[in-house]
Amino acid sequence: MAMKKYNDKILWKMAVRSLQHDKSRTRTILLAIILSVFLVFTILTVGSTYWKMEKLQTIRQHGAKFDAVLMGGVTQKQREICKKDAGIATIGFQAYSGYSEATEKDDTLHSGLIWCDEVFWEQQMAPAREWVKGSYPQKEKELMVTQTALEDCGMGDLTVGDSFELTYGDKKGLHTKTFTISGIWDGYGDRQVFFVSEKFFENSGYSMDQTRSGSMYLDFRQSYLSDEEQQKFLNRLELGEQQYLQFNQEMSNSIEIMIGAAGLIIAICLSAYLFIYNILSLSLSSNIRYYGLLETIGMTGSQIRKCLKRQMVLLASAGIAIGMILGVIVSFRLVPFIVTALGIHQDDVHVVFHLAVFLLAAGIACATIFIGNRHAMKTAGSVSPVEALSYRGISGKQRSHKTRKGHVLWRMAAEQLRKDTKKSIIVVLSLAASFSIFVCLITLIQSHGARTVYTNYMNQDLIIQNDTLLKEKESDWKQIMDEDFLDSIREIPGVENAVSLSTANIIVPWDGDLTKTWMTKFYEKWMENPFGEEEQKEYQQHPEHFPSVLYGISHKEFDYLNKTLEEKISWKDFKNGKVCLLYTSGMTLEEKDFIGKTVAYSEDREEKSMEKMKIGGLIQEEYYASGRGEGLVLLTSQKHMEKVLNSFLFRIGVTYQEPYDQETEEKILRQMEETPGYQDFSYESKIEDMEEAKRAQGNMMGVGIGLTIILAWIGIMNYINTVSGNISSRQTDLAILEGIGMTRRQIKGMLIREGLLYSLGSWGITATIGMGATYLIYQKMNSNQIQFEIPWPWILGMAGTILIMCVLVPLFFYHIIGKRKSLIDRIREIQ
Amino acid sequence: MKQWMVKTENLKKYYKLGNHTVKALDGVNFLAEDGEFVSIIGKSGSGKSTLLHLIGGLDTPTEGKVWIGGRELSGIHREKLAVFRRRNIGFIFQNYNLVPDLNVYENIILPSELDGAPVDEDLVEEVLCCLKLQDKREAMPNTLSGGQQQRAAIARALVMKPLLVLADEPTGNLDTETSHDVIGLLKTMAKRFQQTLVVITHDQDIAQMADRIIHMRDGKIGKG
Amino acid sequence: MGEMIVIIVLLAALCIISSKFYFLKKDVYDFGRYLDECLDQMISGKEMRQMEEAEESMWGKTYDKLKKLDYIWKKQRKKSIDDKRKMKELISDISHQTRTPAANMKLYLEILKQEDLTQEERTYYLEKLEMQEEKLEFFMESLVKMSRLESEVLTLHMDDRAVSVTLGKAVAAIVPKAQKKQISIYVDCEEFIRLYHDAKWTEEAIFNLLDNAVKYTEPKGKIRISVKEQEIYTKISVCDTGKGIEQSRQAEIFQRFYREPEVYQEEGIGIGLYLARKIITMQNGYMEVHSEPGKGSEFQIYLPREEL
Repeated sequence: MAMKKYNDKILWKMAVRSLQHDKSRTRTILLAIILSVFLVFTILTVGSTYWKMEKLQTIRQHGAKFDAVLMGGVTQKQREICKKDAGIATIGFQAYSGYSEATEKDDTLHSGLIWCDEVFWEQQMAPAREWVKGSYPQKEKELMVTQTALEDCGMGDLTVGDSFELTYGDKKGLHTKTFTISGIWDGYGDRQVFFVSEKFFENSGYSMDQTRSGSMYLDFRQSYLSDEEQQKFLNRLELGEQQYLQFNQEMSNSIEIMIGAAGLIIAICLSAYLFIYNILSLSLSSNIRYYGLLETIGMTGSQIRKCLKRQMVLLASAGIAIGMILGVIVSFRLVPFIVTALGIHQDDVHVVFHLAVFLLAAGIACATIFIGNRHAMKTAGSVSPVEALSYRGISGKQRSHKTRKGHVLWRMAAEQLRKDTKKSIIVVLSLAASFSIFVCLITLIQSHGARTVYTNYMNQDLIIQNDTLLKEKESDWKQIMDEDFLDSIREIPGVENAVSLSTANIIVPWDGDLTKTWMTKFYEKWMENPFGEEEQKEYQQHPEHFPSVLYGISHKEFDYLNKTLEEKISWKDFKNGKVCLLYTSGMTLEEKDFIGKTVAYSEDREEKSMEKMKIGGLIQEEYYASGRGEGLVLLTSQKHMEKVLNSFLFRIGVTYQEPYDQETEEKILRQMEETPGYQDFSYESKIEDMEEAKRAQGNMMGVGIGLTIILAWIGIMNYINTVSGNISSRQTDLAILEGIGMTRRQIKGMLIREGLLYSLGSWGITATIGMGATYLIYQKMNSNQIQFEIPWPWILGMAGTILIMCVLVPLFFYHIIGKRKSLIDRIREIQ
Repeated sequence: MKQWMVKTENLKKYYKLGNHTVKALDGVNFLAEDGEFVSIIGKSGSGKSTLLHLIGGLDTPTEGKVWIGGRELSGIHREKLAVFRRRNIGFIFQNYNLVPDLNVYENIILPSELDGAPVDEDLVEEVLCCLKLQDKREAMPNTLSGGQQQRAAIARALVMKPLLVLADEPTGNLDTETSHDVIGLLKTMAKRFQQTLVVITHDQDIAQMADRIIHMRDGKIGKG
Repeated sequence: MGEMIVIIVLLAALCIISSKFYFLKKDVYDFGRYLDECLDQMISGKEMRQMEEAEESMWGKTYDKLKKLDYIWKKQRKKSIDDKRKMKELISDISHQTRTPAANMKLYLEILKQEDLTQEERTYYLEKLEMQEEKLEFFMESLVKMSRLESEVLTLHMDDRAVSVTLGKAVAAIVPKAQKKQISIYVDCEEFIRLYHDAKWTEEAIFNLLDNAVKYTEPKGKIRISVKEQEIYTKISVCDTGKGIEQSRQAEIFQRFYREPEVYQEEGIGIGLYLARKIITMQNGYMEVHSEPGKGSEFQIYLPREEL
């Protein structure tokens, strides 16, 4: 009511005075608030920045804003399905309409001619464009160009309105026409492209539903689709064999980071809550007489509550303000660093200060403070003045309990912990929380490299490859690695072994079913046109135009591959060339079509030296992708391979005696340089990959250690707070114990045991719940299936630190109070 | 016809302590005349503090009734009791009388500020003067001597012009000389502002300064 | 959409403000009505209506003040009745106390009127008459003092002066009487001790204490006077070696016309201690007595060192 609230000013004054009076309490609470606001704010800012930058990165990588793309043609039915789907925000279309062949300045052009619809151009692509001049082509002979595409044509100086003559190819053949530039744009994504008008597309002979031409870009309303939802959507579209729908991978990644951030915020809030709760209930028990006094002079319970609330409001507003300012300042440097560590590779990471972040951080902090304060407020407001006047600290509930056996000091220590169970639990929990988070972070950071790094095939240390074999013409192939080279590597000290992979082109003549099934599938998957009569005829006449590939693999590789097979094959048969393996080339093949079938091949056109092998199994290791030709990819033993004359050493996989042996690797690389034609070598080094990962790990370590220190600090402060309050409120009890003949040594023994119990409690929780949570998080982020391993030195070190601290802190405070006063003074103090 | 400031009727207060019932007060009929200075004397545990707490509305009786200036206390809600106290009753305790965060002046005006009443500066000035606290206006409680603290407490008890001032062993922590100073002042001031004064003490000398002495023993009022 | 929100916000604000205004108005009217009612009841002298007064509101506060005011008025009305009653008692006391000497004087005058008296007899009765007259005069003087003190009409001439001077005058006045009983008086008072007091009346009070001490002390006894400064009060203590006062009577001795039963025959009207206490109280001081039968008594005067 209007005339009721009139005596508020004094409450503000008292709140301010109370804060001024108990400076150390004010400082600690303020610090806790500042810290938690700062942390929450920073985490939220990292989150929002990551979220935004990640989106931007995705958009830039793909050149447009979309969540999924359907490639390989779009049927009318699929278009209808998507249009009807309420979950899809925008649907953009692109269609391949031809390729540029030549201009008068340049006859090797690389730019495609693409048509896109208005949705794609105006809505999906706009965020990835930096600027655009002119407009999208309307007439048939108009082009939207990029500087890159123009330069590719040798006409980088043209601009909007200029015309040039372009020879291009479409479904109907080659044409030469004069095009006018209707617009120029620049931005991210594929810039080797000319955008054409709809009319051009219609006249090109291509249509939306053609495999080579149409693609549909979908932007979902939901920012995250689960795997199930994706699969469900996929099933609805009923994709054809050549069509495929690709979702942007980053969708799931960002969710995990968001969940991590939320978890961290909860942990921080919990710590802050415990901290504030603890300090307040401590100061409450020392101020209880004060509240009683205030009640006797006529302060009502609600006024006391209000006064306490005011204190919190003052602390909260100051703390939130300072925390936010600090957060804003630090964010400019810290956030880009963290965001980069999390995997955003943009030069211009703009820190995103979202209004919602400010509100959310303040809200979370306020809620934490309020909840932490609630208990204190309730107790202070309901304290009876008479009780307060004769208050002697919490003496605990007088529960009867059985006399327990055991060492008297242990018993007394345990009794002390049981006395105020809630407080003991809070202390143990807060210690356990910081310890657990430490365990989790250190485990994740220590295993970061192993978990995330891309490892070589079969975990080899170094893979050397002969790049000449990637060239199309067989005449360009060179045997730059030979058996001698292999031997010379094997001889280098530190090398455990080196296995080679040899390869050769072979010819598999037309044999009906087998080749037909393969070729049909292959064309469906990889080619624009189906494997028709014409192609079949050509194959029959000129099988050398459809070369197959033969790989010779080592025993070790065979063993490795054999494990993946359902039906094992014997090494003996494989070694002798009776049985071979077939690489599926990324296609889904029916086992019954191939396994058990016999394939015949020859090295060259003369069919006299035909060899025959039975296909023993299908393998899917991409390591064996050849990229050459359309024929089968067969794996046989090296032994059998020796029979093939013109085989080449394709790769050498080296394993070191000591993993990550820098010295050995240097020797091998030197050996390589000394070999003629070394510029055609390429290699993939596990060490280099590891170093890359370690750099990332180092960054994470910095952030992680910072975080751990803050959490540990909160936990330790909590403990110190509780213990100091506990000891000072037990001064009399301790003095009386001393009075009845307990030596100081024994009292110290009791205090040490209390500390031990606290640390044991926190260890127990960490070992069970903490470890469990760590394991779950670990497995969630374990993409390389690395075994869960605990970094013992770190964890034992931390456990030791906790133990020492738990024991020393009570001793320290006991020392302080014991020094200050004589025994009788300490007993008298409460009277 | 006498006008009663404080009246209790068959006042009882029992505590449960384990299986025993402690009779802190066992049927007390206490009367304090308006403007009177009554001292209650008794050993510790005689129930004198309990009686004072009940009169001051700090505690609720097990049985019986308390009237202050004609108003019965039982049945008043705790919150309202606090308001009633600050308007009608001044309290002085043995120790821990002053709010440590506030200076002397702020301590003295605290009850009126809590009530939202405008501070009667003239009265405050007069009281401070009478209690010889003029130079201690801005001093914080922890810088004051015991006697000064009790004087400040008296000043606070007086400044709302309550009808009743209750003092629980106000000189318990003071030496004899200072005790006399404090009680003398308390008495003088109470007379000046026509307040009823009830003082609890175990000191015969202090009790003697009152208009009337009441002896308490085992929760009952004795003769003499 | 935006306009809708603005309108809704404005409407809500309007609602809040108007309801606030409504409640404020209601509160003010209620306040006025209650005040009127209570004032009426006070004027007509009736008991005020019981209301929920201990409330944290404007009215609660005012109501509490009104109650207090009502209480004080009633108290004052009663006090004036008490005062009248006190005056009546005083008058009856006076008439009672003056009756004996007056009757005695009348008796002696009757005797003197007889002509068959010898010169010696005449002188004897005249002396008796004179004594009665002196007694009556002392009595009247005391009564005047008392009534002036009682009715609080006198003005005290408070000033900061040396205690020793006032004390000296009082002692000088008692010395002849003490010498008669061979009582020695010791004074322990630092010259520099100053006190804010009324010289004449304080001297009177100290004299009364000394007079009392001399009266109840055996011949050859001792009276010790000491002055001590405390933080607030200055203590003047008068210690005798008399017969002391029983604990149970210690509160009564300060009452008007109180006389120890054993000394009822001695001179005095039992007004000295009463007057002394009255004088000290009027100067914002207070008195104490410490005594044990047979061990003498100590009367203490506490006077504030500075103006209170």
